[in-house]
Amino acid sequence: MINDITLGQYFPGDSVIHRADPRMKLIIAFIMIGAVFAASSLISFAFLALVVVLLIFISKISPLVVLKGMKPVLFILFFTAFIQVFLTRTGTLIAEWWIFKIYSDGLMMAFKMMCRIALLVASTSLLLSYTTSPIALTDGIEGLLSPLKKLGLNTHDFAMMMSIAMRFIPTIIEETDKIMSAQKARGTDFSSGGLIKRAKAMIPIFVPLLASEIRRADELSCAMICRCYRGGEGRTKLKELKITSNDVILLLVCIGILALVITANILTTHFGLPI
Amino acid sequence: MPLSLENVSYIYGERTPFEHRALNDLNLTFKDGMITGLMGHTGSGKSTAAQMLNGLLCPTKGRVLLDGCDINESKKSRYEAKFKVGLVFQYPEYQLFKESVWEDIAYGPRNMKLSEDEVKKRVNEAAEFVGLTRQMLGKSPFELSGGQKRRAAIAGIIAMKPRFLVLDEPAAGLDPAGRDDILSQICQYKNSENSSVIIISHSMEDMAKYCDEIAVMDDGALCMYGTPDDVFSQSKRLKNAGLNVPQITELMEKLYNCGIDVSANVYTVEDAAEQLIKLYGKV
Ligand SMILES: Nc1ncnc2c1ncn2[C@@H]1O[C@H](COP(=O)(O)OP(=O)(O)O)[C@@H](O)[C@H]1O
Ligand SMILES: [Mg+2]
Repeated sequence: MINDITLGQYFPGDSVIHRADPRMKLIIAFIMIGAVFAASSLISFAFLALVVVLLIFISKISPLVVLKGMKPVLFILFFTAFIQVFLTRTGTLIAEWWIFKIYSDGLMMAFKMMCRIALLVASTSLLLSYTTSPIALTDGIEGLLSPLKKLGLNTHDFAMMMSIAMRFIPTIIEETDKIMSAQKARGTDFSSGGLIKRAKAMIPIFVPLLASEIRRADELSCAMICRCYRGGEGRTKLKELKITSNDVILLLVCIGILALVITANILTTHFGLPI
Repeated sequence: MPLSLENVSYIYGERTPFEHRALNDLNLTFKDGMITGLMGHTGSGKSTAAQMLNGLLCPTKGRVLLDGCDINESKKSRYEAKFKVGLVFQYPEYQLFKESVWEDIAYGPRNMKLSEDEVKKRVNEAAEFVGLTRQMLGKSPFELSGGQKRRAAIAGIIAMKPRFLVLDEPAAGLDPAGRDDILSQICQYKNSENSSVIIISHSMEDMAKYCDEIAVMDDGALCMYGTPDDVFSQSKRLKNAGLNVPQITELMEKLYNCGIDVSANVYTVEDAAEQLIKLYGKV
């Protein structure tokens, strides 16, 4: 079950998206988020969905993986839709039951909200987590944060902490899995009983996990010191990030997408086009 | 009442880009009252097979039979299999979590819902088997040395008195004296409790010394099965499976090939010494 976590997992590949500069990808992801939030008409959602399909196609990530990545946000998806459906009181009344009233506007808003969240998760994971290695991602973050260095902020330490944290996510998942199996072999039952019983069944996992993570952190810091790590001062990179024409084209395409979405909005709100 | 794997296949991460077939139509029966050794090179699927035996992993295809019943038949049978087949993981010392060693060993028996008297009896017995002293039992598991932690973890499974005790590389990373201690204590446990033991290891020497039967795995399938004599006399097949014969056997084979009057089928240092001493008398 724990192996099913695909949100935040990197799938190596060699597509245009995989090769793009991580700094650019972060900026593009932000623009995409902006476009998803700006979208208000059905046509713009359809257009953004098309963009996501194109992203899947270009990056060669299996659509199944993208769908599986939705699993963790499914609850939020339906919860917000539910709230929208039952709390909106405008438009025409469609159905009524006890204190619940369903209006046409509510349904429409719920649908749009679901589209928005799904598109948000799909586009950011396709642009960032699935196609960018954790190391590249932290390099990108460090690059984008580097202007803050002038303000006296230690961006290198921050990026290093992030990259270590990300590097160890799979290790910790694996380790949790192993400890869970070992405790199951001693009869721990994780899947039955009430809330308190289940919470108690977690103790045999968390204690050994914490102990071993502390030990690991200790060993890692020791290994880093042994290899003369001394922070970001004067440190050079093996792979310098470089913006290529490829990246600029991606950025322009993305800005184009945002512009189209905003145009669609203006057309629908100001000129009342029914789209 | 044997424990057997019947046409078992297992695929990790099925239908993901990380799909990996770890077991490939494995057929293997562990007989009662024996110490069976499970050997194979790293990645041959030994640990995966071990986790099949007590229902931790469910075969993608095939069945796991205990007393002729499929242990994955229901959720209940799968849960109960954990008490009938005790599995000691590789590096089990990282699973200890209770405030004292005694409490940690008692964790399994308590999950079996035994009476407090029975739990007490079993914990003390198990601790004795693995050679933990009374004083150590009162300590926190985090205060013990590596070898002592390993013993405590093994005791935690022994205290559940499983009919089959499966140990995944119980001696890995221990010093020679520690290895011999732990393995001979396991033998002693098997004899006094009349249970069956399955030891996973790739130390040919240990296997030759302690096992009644040996199964060799290669790429997720069974490749050889038999007594240590059967298995170690086929050095070529062993080498093809990424293993080797015990060092002493290699030495004796070389001597034999040089025309010296010794048997090439010798698997323990003691037997070899005996032969060489006999030979020395003749010269
Ligand atoms: N949790 C896992 N996820 C994916 N692959 C795994 C996992 N555990 C083991 N494997 C793979 O399955 C194969 C068999 O592993 P394992 O049973 O641990 O072998 P052994 O114990 O004989 O060294 C290996 O190739 C290993 O990489
Ligand atoms: Mg193993």
